[in-house]
Amino acid sequence: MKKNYFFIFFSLFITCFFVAGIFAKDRSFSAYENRYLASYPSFSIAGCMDGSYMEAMDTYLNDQFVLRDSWIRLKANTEKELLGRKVIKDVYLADKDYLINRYTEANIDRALVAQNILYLNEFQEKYAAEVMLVPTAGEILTKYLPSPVDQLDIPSLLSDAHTTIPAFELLKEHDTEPVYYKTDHHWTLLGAYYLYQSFVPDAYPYAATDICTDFQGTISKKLGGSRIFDSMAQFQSPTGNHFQVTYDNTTVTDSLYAPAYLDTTDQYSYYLDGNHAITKIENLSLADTAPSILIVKDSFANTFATMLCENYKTVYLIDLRYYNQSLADFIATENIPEVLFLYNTMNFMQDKNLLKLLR
Amino acid sequence: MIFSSITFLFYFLPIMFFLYYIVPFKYKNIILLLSSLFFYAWGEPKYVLLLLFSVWINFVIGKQIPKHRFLLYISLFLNIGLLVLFKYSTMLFHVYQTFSHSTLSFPELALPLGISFYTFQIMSYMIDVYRGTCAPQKSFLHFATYVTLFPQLIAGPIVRYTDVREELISRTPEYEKGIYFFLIGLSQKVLLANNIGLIWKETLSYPFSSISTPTAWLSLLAYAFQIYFDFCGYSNMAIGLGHVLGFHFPVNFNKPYMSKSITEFWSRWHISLSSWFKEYVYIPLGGNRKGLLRQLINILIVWSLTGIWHGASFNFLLWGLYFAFLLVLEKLFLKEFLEKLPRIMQHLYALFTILTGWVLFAFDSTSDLISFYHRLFQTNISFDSHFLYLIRNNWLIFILCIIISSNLVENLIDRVVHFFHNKGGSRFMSNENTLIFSRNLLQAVKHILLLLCFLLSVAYIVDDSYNPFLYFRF
Repeated sequence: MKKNYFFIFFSLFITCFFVAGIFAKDRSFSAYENRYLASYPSFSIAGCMDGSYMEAMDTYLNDQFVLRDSWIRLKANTEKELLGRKVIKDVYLADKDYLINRYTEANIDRALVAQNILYLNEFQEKYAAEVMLVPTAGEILTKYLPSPVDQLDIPSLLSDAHTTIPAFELLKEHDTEPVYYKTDHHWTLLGAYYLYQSFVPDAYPYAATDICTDFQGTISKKLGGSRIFDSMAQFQSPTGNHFQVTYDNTTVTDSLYAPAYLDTTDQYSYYLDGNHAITKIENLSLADTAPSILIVKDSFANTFATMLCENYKTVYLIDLRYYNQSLADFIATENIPEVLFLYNTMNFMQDKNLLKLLR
Repeated sequence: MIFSSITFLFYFLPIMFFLYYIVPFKYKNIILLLSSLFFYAWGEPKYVLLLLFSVWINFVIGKQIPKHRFLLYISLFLNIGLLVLFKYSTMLFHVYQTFSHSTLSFPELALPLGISFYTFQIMSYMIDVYRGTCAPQKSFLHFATYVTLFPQLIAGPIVRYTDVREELISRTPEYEKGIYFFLIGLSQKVLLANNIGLIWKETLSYPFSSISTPTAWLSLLAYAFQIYFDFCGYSNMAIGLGHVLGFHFPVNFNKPYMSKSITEFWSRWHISLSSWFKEYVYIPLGGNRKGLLRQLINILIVWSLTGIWHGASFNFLLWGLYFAFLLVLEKLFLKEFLEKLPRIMQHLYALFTILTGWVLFAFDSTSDLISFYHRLFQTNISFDSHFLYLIRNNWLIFILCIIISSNLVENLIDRVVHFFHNKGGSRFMSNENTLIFSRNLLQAVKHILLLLCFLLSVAYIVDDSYNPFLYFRF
């Protein structure tokens, strides 16, 4: 008798998963991947004609596939254990459980980088601005990276930029401390603190409380989840925690933090409510004579600003991705004496809005 | 729909096979036709009408060919016309534009999925009917089933009508063999091609001026493996599904990278395409029967067509001509010369020429093409960190690709088995039994590995990893 075990195994396997797929309840959110899963696409003739319905269906069936998390884990383990890969989806599986983005030529456009440096240098001269380019984790935590390392040499790419604060060197001094998240591309509060410390002459000592211990950031998401979690910390206000924060000139609150985000996939937005075109932080405990400052920034500044506002009466934050008015007018009207440019190096190289620096 | 998707594996397949096996035989082709059209429309909802039109018009004309033989030319004109219109018109228009400096605009037509494959299948039928090799198919259902058969509809192999004529009416499924081939193909595509393809993809993202020579060669090797395992994997899946349904599709790949010459390569690579051209173009042109000069010209014609078949772009034409040139050289003197060399030299010659040929296949921009060649043949050889990085993270994939695209391991195992056989067996078993036992053991190991590969393939598909469809230009 001929044995048909391949056929039997295969047909049983696909039939079981087919039947299970029909009866399994759809999940709207994957905690493992920290993202929302596709839901059942609504049928439309137009969607069928241009194929978008079928594409949505493919994504839906894939997202809702039975035992999805286990399959993803199986793949991740295969890559790591069986193939011995140390880099998956351009993420280094570094020592001490660090997940670190690997950036290559594919991530940048050299012409754009050169252009951005020109804009920045002109901006720096125009306002005598302080410039801080915060390195990526891959630049600082090199000793944890699996060898051979092959990535962009970001410091040399940015050697022509007029930076006034040696962020690279300062963080490098603390590269054994948790200055970066293990699962996210941002620096931690502690990392930002060391730059705060060097930026403000009479900086307060570091004192922080953990506000969550189940943070999984962007890099973890990129890998389809991981078993590594970070904690997020919040600076203990030495001046009494009396703030008035105004977002986009409309929403006013008395807190630097937005705890509602801690239950979402975007936990990092806890700091200063994520991204806004313009954020104004006033420290009500300080005298009106205390200085004010404008930070032109990306999301790396959000932790930094929660400490800087202890020493400044007013901290303005402008995010050029969303801000479309004249920067020069703003600085003149608000009569701001000090300007800081704070960007992550990679964000700086990729940002297409830096022309706005000169408006 | 593509084979390596959840939709196909876990929804289309079970539903389709369930319906297919519960209906009586005379309705099976209806199920097959409907599911094939559904399969096609899933990825190409509009052009399914073009496919149906092609099938219908050729069915009608085909029936009349034995009586009105000139109809063949009308049908060829029509089929080639549609192919040119949908596949080559944009390219031809650009040529016209360059020479006439015209500013006319031309609507860019999207290439209908699989048009090159099904048009060639239809033409094989028409020519065979004309030649009297087979009688015209009287049933529209059978004819439409033949052309649209979903396993081979969008990426081959190019099945000739005469290959499956009888099986359209009566066939015996071979489940075990079919699933075996299907799983081999699926693993080749998902585990090998997709993974090794990432290397090529990353290299393409670098400015070529920054790539070292070792990196360029390694990336090119990765590309060669990607295109082979992708294409061969797809063919194997098609062949496997064919067996499950009871069809015998022709073998499409036979370890092409083990060739010792380009002549041999083309008898092992995309066999259904090269044999199509041989049968319907090369031999009718006179083949090798009308003197050496005519034969060389025929080679030139056939390989220009083979090249341009792969896509409406000049690099494909160049790729075809490159092989024509090598084939002519081999015919004239090179083959004779090569055969005197040690076998390893012959393999190296073939691999070298095939690899450098892939560069032509990969780039449709002349400047990319030239700068990549420049990288391959520059004299400055340094094993830079990028090269070491690629090796460190991909060495196992490379080794697997080498093993599976060659017959090194099979040969080794055969030798070991024979060694023990000749030694006179073990103390416990007779000679014959050792041989049978070790063969069974190997077979079992192979099968278990394959089932594991299937599970891994599912995992790789679920995790939405890099899963390109490479035949969109064919």
